[in-house]
Amino acid sequence: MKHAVFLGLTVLVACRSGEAPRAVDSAQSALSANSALQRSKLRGVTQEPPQPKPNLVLTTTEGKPFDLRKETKGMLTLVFFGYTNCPDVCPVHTANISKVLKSLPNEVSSKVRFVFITTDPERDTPEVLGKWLASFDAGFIGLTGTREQILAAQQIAQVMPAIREVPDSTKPSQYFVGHAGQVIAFTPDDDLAHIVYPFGVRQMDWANDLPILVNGWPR
Amino acid sequence: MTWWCAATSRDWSWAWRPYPGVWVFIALVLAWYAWTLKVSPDAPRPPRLASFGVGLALLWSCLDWPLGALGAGYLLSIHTTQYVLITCVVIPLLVVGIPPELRSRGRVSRFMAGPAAGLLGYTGIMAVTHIPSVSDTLMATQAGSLVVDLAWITGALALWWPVLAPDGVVRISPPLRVGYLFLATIPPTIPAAFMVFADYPLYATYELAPRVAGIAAGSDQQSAGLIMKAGADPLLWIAMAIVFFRWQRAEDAAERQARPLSPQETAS
Repeated sequence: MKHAVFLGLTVLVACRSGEAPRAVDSAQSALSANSALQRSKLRGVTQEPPQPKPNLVLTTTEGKPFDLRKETKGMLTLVFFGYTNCPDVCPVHTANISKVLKSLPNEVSSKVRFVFITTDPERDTPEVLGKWLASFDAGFIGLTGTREQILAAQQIAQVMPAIREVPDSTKPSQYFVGHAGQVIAFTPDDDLAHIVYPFGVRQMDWANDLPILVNGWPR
Repeated sequence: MTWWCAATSRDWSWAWRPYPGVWVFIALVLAWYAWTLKVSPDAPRPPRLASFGVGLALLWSCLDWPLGALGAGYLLSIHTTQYVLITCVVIPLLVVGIPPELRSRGRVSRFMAGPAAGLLGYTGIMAVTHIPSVSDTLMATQAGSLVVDLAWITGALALWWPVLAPDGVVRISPPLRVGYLFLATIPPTIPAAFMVFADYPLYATYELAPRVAGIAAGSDQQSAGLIMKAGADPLLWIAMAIVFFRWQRAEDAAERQARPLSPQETAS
């Protein structure tokens, strides 16, 4: 919106001086410079070429099918693969995003969808996953599926497939799951992930980036 | 090998972990104290022994598992609790426990007994060790974490020396000592306010650490700010009260000695 107003004003000023075509060029270059500035402010890790939003259909914690592309169309979509028994990365990422969304104005937070896809479908039953996510934010979306579906989802999403690590062979049910640590951000204007957020990203980084990204990828 | 508590990315466990560097440090302090008692011309007094013993036990518990480990890499509130205990309890107890005739009387000691040097040393160390980038960098390594602990001990010595240095070295009168301690309550208000009122966690170490007992990073930071202010201030007020009442008692005694005895007092 700010861009449009800026462009309009610049064109208006230029038209009055009778130099419309040159003014449009300069407005476009100003917009481009502004976008470059916005991009330089982002604190995530940009990726080139951007990755398309995966065409996934998994199951929600209510047992309903969830088409990622369809259900998150027009939203800034943060996708993360993790599991509820994770001792470090998953609760920290999830808590940080939850805290920041609560602190941001509604016009920003309402345009963000956080999608948590479990990499441990055996232990993360829909009930367990739903309860765990609700402890952070009732609006967070939890997705699960069969082991094969989850593996396929990770491949489509171009993340490292999760692997099970059993520290004590006498207790096979007490295992960890090694999984990708980054949150993938799909911008609302093009459904592409130009940027990812590895573990180590902080609340102040999210608070800086989300208001920029909800308006689409700055180009 | 882990010899000193530092931040790790491991999830927190209540299983005991040894930190031999802490034991060596405590043993060195104890050995030094035993030496001071040996060379002291006076017999050791039980209150002094008790003061040093309690101070050393508290110092050990601040640096070793679990407080040391939790404070180094998991909870800012515990980190701040360590700071408050070392600064406001441990060091005054240790200094009081040293026989006065063995407390340093050198040139540095006389310089540090000045209120400006004490306040500046204490405030400077407190400020620098609480700058987020400095703290995050230092707490990530065992050597860095040791530096922070030693810096806190040095800062606390700077704070208390103008109050607890031996006679002849102390350069400010008791009422001024009360004022000095009051001034010492002001600088920690700044980092404490940042911790309480910041929108987001200030320290990456504690924000990104595996959570302990589900305590959120933001609540942990707010608790830390409150501990830094509301935990430390009452301890300094107690010290102010002790200095004030001792001074008043000494004044009364001096007045009684100076006053000529009344006829009734003489008769009795």
